Amino acid sequence: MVMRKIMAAWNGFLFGKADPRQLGTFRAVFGAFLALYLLDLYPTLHLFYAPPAVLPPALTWASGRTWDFSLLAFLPQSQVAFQASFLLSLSGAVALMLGWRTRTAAVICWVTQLSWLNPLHAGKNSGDNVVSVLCFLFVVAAMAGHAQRAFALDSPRERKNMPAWSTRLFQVQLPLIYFFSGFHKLASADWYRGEAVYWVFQQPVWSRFDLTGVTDPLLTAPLTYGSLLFELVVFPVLVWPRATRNWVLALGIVFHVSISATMRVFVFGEVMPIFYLCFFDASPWLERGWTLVRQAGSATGLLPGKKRTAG
Amino acid sequence: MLRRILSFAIALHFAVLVVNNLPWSPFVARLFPLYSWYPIATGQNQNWSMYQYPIHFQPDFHLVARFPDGAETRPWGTSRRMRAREVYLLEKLFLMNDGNRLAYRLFDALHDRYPADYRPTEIVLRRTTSDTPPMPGQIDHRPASVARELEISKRW
Repeated sequence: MVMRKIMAAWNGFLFGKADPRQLGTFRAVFGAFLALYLLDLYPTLHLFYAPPAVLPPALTWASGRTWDFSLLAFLPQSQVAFQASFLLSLSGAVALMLGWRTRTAAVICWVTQLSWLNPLHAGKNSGDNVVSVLCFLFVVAAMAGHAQRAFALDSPRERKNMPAWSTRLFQVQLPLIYFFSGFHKLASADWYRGEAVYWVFQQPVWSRFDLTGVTDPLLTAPLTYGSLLFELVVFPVLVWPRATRNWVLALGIVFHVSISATMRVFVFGEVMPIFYLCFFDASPWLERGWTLVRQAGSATGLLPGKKRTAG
Repeated sequence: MLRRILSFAIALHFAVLVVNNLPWSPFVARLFPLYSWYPIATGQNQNWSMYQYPIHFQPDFHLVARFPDGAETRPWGTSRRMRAREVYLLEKLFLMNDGNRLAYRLFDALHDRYPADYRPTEIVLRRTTSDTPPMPGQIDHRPASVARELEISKRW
């Protein structure tokens, strides 16, 4: 009896109906972010992979873990090969944003993302890891035909609801990031004793402005414990009920914006609010923008649209 | 049938994510050969221990190129002017097991990016550290036991 209820709840969780516009919005925004992310990453990629390169092809797939692949190992090291590879990455991101040949675009984004980042044993952080995770999850969503059901050039005329499981992949991964980020922190005496934010503020090289004067434990301890509470409990638990979801997401945005405003953290502060789109339906805004794009495209003849008749 | 297979696959996926997030232990070590290929091959390696152990010293990084005529430049500027990703890269060179080897490759790449008729004869990467004052009221503070100055350099 209990098992039947659990299975019914599990099936409802995975195969209940979901509005494709939410995932479509997430796909479009992530594709746009990915393009900007790649442009920002370009100087590092050029340094590491374009001659005179830090890493020759032989070292891009040389680790003992053979699953840690990079297709750069098979390419000649030349400016032309590098620029062509980068252009392929960027094109994949733009195509993903537009929802054009979405399955192929998603695979290109994922394969190139891992090929660029797997050999980078220095110079990448957890934010880059989040981007890699999202690239893979969008491959799965695109292969299932879910990511391109709305706000995509590949969209079918009729937008039917779709099973929720592809969205659930994103929705489960996001709270896991927060929970285990907090979980690992508990192994550290600095976090356990409420001192961690003090030590973080005492690193001028990693702060946007001088925070070394913020020493009062009445300030730093609540920030430390507040971060732990948000990561361990608030987000992973309260993001699920609809009544608290938007509040938690808003708090998360405040959390990340305040970190980005004070600390020189890269990528993570930008990609995590975008990840929130798996919980937040921003489609009404995108619907309006997409209508304008299609109207402009029809008027210029770039996209099929209603034909005007004479008279 | 397809639904059951998909349901099972997703449950397995979630289980792997959870186990991949756990700290290393005999339990994780036993399972590692079974599941590790999946997160590594797909780029889903779960590593979210950001800021777990904030450092108790104040590092600064100096990347300097010296030329035959005695001139010195900072190819990436001061650490305040560097991109955050560049600072992160330099910091990692001092923390990795084979950081020196990667640093030499970096120096070679930077060296060869200068015009052939005016290239540096030496590139130096230096990490300087200073103590972080103890937290007010902290009674068990000990200064971090870390070298005041570490240097990696290469000459041509």
